[in-house]
Amino acid sequence: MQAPEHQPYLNRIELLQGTLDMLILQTLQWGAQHGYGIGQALRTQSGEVLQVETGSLYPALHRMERQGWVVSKWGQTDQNQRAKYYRITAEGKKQLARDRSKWEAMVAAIGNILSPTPQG
Amino acid sequence: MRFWSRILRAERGKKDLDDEIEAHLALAAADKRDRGASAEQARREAEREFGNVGLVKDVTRELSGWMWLEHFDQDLRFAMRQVYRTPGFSLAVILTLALGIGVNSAVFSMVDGFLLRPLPYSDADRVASLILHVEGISARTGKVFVDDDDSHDLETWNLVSHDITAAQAAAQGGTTGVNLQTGPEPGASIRYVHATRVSAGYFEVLGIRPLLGRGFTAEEDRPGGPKAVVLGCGLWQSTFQGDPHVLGKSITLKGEPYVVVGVLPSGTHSPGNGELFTPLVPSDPNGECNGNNCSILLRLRSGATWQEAGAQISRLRPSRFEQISQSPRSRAWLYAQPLSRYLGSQMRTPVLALMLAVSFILLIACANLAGLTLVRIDRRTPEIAMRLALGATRTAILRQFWVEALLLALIGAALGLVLAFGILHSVRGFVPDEFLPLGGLAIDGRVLCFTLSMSLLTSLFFGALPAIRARRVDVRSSVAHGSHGVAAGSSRTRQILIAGEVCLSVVLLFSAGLLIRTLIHLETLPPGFDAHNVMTAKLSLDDARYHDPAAFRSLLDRSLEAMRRIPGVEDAAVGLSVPYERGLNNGLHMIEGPLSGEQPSSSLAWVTPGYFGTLRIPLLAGRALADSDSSTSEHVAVVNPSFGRKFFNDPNPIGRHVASGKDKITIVGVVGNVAKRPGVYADAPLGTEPVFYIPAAQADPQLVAMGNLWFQPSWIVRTRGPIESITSDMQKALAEADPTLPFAGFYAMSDILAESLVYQRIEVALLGALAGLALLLSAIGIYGLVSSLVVQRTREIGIRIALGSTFGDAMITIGASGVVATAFGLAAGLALSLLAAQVLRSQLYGVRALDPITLGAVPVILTVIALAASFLPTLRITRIQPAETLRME
Repeated sequence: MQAPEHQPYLNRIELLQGTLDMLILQTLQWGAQHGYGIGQALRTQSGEVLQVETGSLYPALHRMERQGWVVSKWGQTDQNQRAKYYRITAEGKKQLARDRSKWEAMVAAIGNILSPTPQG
Repeated sequence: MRFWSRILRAERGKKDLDDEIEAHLALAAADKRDRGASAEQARREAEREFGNVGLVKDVTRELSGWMWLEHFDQDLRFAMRQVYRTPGFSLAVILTLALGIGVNSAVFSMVDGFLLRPLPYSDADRVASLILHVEGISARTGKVFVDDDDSHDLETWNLVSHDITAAQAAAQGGTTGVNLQTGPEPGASIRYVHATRVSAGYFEVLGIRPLLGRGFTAEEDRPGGPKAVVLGCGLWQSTFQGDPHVLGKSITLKGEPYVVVGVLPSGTHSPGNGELFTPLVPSDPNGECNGNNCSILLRLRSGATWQEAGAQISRLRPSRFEQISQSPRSRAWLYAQPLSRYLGSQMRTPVLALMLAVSFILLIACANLAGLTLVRIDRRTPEIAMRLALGATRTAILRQFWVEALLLALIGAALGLVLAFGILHSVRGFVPDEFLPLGGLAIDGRVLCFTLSMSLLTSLFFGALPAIRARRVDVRSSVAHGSHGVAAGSSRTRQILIAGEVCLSVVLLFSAGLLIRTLIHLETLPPGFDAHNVMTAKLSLDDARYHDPAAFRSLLDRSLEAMRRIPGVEDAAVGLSVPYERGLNNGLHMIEGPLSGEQPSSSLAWVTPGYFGTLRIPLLAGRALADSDSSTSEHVAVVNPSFGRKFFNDPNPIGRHVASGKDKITIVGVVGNVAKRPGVYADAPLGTEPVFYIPAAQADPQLVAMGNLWFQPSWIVRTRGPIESITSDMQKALAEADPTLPFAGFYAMSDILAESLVYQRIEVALLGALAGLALLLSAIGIYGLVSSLVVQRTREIGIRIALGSTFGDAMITIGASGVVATAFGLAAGLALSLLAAQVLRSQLYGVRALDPITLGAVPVILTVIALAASFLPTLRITRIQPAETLRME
């Protein structure tokens, strides 16, 4: 018997990738935020349903930064804590719009399949 | 520099990520404290929620593309620990590689020097050597022959220098030892230096710009022109203390004044290897180029192409082409060959053969390394399985093995380079300059690249094996069985590897054996004279003072008379060439006998009457030469049976006549054949060459002068006791005749024999050393295989012995694996040797390619080595305690 091939951690990110990126960009629409803040925002706004793992969040942030969708800068929180803030760029906004329309098209398509409206 | 700035940025990114994660944890903890948790609890909670910090960092950083560097760093550290932890294995690998890579690098530097490195001349691709191509059917052997030679005669030189306009031509004659007087007062101190004779324009053609002064002018290169000399840098510095005002000074060379006209820069290499240069005078009808003795070099003129020059050269038709084309299917033409290719062509085959031989050594070394690594992989199977089980990827494990192999290979290569330096140093010591490349042997950039790529290749080779095996590691069974999950298939693989190395060793051993047998044959040829208690000494008589026949004869008479007075000396003589040495090639006019009218060449030696008695060459018929054979009496000669057979179909041609120059000579005696290096019919390094002996007193002065230009005559003394102490007495005796003449060197007959067989000795030394190395490595391989089998099967052996088997049975069972592998390798190797024998055929003399003695000796040597290497490690079996091995769980 062969040992199961090791599953790279990256795969789990890819699973969520498109959606997670969109959600992060959406969160950043309201202003610059640090990684912890983004995680908390996604959790509260989803009504505690979405729990984004740090192992997905940080790779996603770093990747988006390299793609030029977000930029980062070290700053101070209200409690005078040092933290790295991410801000959405113009390119990021365009990407968000694209992701969003794709998402809406997909939701509509899935919705159509799940509850078909009579054609006629 | 970009590389480092990127690494720096990656380092900074790492710090940034650490900070970012720390900030995350701090923020989360602060949140929790706000909700009422204690500081400690909050922090712990935050960390728990965050998850695996290291993993998050890894995954995030993996994106930055710099992980591989970090992995490499980790792997390297791990590899170093492994190297330290298994010093025996590491040392074995490093030393094996150092040997394999060392000999390969050394031999590659020869390939580099002969075939790859550009010649040390400016625009070396515009310099060519003029080659005479002759093909046809040999009148002597009846076989088809093709000959490409760079020796030309006066007529060719005249044609080239008049008709070739696309290239500048220069000629080079021989290099000979001459006497250079270094002090101002006559006879103060005379040095024996090597002088090369070159034409006007020689240095320009080679692109050498003199450091001081100039090369020879056309005026100096004309018969009777002013005597000029160009000094090499080494001689200028050693003998003239680098005197900047040396130009225009007169020095005494060959007994007459020469004016220094130039000094060459340091590091100048000329094909002739001379320390100084004198004009060749190629147009002199009585000079050196009268025979086929001069090489002709060409430098393309600016704007001209080799096509133009080639067309001009192909139109040259020296008159002897007529004669050649009269023989059936014979043709001759001249062509230009790039000088680098021509110089390399001489050594091309031997050097490439040597490269092939050392590549065998590297293959054998790699087979041993693969064997060693296989054992280690087996031992490390549990570790590999454990790492796989803990989540390491197979790629990571393979990379790890490769980095270990690479580390060992690089250390081995570094040590190999040291070894290569040593090998080259000793090669320079025992190989004469004529067999070394023009620029010498050196480890240059090309050789370093070669060494580095060798180490990369070998690391891939023996690093890949574990990779293949690790693929097969079964995690469950290996973890479950712990250290006893040893793969049994590896010993079969190792047996195949050992059969392979034995096969290659056999080929090397067989080839070396054939060459050794050739050397023994040549060294034990019947000498035809008594070589014991004979000392010879050479000196240069290419000296203006001895061109006069009376002065020449008086020097011989007076010096020999003084030598005969030395206590312990039985007899003394002088001769141009001694046995084992090649003689002067001289054209004879046959005026009677079957070859009447022809002008064949024969080896000629002028000798004093005591020559045959001193060397104890037996007189077979007629009379020997005598003191009464003077310049005024009838011209006589003594020949050997080879001469008689060749030129008169009669081993006893007494009373026959031959003409040499303007003299008609009568053959009055026949002496025995001696072993001699052939000058004319070079079928073997030593043979019974036809020799024509004439009395020194009757030798034509011009012939003597010509002979002295190329050769140094030998003073020969036979003593009653040991010969070593005689040399200073010989020099003193010579001083009685001429206090200014130094002997250039003293040689026992064994030295002369060694000198004549130097090429064969080099072959035997190199190939013998390689065969020995191959055998050693194979023996180590066999030993390693059997001893690891003993370790692996200790338990099994213990059980067998407990059940009543004897130690002997166990030793035979285990040791057989090495012997069986050797047997297969031996059979394959002998088959391959038949091929090698065909390749070596041209190097064999007196030995058949399928020499039964060599064919018999090789299996015997291999069997002894295989038995010893297989038996020694099984001795450990006798120390096995069955009761203990059974408890080994």
